[in-house]
Amino acid sequence: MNYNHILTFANLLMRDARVFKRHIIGRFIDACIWSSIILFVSQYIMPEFGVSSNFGTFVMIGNIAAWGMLEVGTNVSLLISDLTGIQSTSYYLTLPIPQSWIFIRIGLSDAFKTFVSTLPIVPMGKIILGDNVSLCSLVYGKLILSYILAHLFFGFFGLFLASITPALDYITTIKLRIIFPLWFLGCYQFTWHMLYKAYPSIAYLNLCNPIVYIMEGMRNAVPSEHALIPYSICIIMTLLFTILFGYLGVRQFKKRLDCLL
Amino acid sequence: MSKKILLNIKNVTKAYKGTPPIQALKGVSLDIYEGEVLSLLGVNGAGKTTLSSIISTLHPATSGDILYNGQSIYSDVTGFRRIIGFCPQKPNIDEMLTIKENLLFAGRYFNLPESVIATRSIELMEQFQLLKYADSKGSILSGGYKQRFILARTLMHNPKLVILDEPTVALDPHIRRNLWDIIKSLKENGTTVLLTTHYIEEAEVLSDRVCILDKGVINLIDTPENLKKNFSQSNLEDVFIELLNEEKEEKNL
Repeated sequence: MNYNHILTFANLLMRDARVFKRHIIGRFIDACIWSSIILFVSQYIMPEFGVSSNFGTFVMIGNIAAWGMLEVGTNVSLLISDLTGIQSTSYYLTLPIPQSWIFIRIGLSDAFKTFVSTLPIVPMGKIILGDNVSLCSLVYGKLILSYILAHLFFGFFGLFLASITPALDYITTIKLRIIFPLWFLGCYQFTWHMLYKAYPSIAYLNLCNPIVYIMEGMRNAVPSEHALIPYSICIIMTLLFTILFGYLGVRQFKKRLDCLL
Repeated sequence: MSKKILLNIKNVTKAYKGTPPIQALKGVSLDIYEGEVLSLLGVNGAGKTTLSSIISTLHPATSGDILYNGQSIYSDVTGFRRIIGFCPQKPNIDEMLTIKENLLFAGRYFNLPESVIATRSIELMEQFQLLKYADSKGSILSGGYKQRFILARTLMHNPKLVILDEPTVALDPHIRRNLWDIIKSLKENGTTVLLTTHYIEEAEVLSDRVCILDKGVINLIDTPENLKKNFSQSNLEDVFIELLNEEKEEKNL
């Protein structure tokens, strides 16, 4: 590693930020529409069917992670369409920087984009839920750390999924077989302890699901009457999963694109 | 022509896993001299693109080495990339950026000073007639302009060695001629050019030497004039066809 590599790497990130800047308003609108509809249904319609009257508040924080998982699908599609289309990645692989860094940059850029896209979700939640949620009661230190780690995870998880996706035709399969089950079973609408009470064996199996730690980690930042997986475990597990998928993604991509060691 | 060796390619092989495994290069050894235009010629599957992508360090060789200034390029890959410019067969333009931004970032990736980047990008856009598209996204360019842009981007950091992988494939004849002029001007400026091409006429017009690859080995390497003389042919295309015929005859024996 040397200074020139870092400078080139920083310029690649700047390029990504410049491109993203042009889409940022559209992404905010997307996130607002999606999260507000989910919150409205969860808070004001679902209780009519016997669900807790506070269900919308419960779902609000989970929406951040849920949107992150949706973005993973988009990021995988974009990367695969580049690899099978104009192949701009092959240009980046000839730049004066180690080839692994190109893949790390993809993970970091996607993490940043997802991070920024989800920023309106909490303020939007306050607008929809009104007095049902108090932003003053959030533990911001915990929220920010879990927020950053969650998006790093999404960035590198997307990289890993793209590395094992052979072509665009497989995107729906990846979404339905991997992204959707991880998200829907990942404690989005329930806590891990609730699942444990109902189905202990499934709950234990679900401990292999990284989204569980992301959801529970974020919920630790909200005062809650529900029992949660301890915050420190959530943070450590999210970090470990990020490193694992980042490593596997870079390794698989280097193999797939026949890169230098 | 200067005879100083710029690159020394030593016994490079490349094998791809598969059933059956493909031996794309079978021990290619070759010297590339400073300031020359060397063309790699061969039929599909001869190993031209494989060799140029290995020299550009896009892909690794299975075995063998490439020396630059007597040192293996693999001892400092990123340093070596600073002296080369690789223009791939497919115009892999960044379609999210404008032409101007593409060039600005190309300079920044090579850590050029901003003042140099600004001057150089305008020079290149003028030279490649891209100024009118400066603020347009790459996606709107026609095939010929995309190819011109890719070549301009390749030259942004003033590389010593330019590797052109079939730069004129599927282009209209007048655009092809235009790119020929650009390659000639590169040579006049002392830039070394490694040109991979299907077009024998192109190799004949532009090259100081021609290297004919066949099934991963170098079949012949010489100046176009010597090749024509040795094969008693008036043009390189006839030399190439005669070589193919000789090969067929050898097979039949």
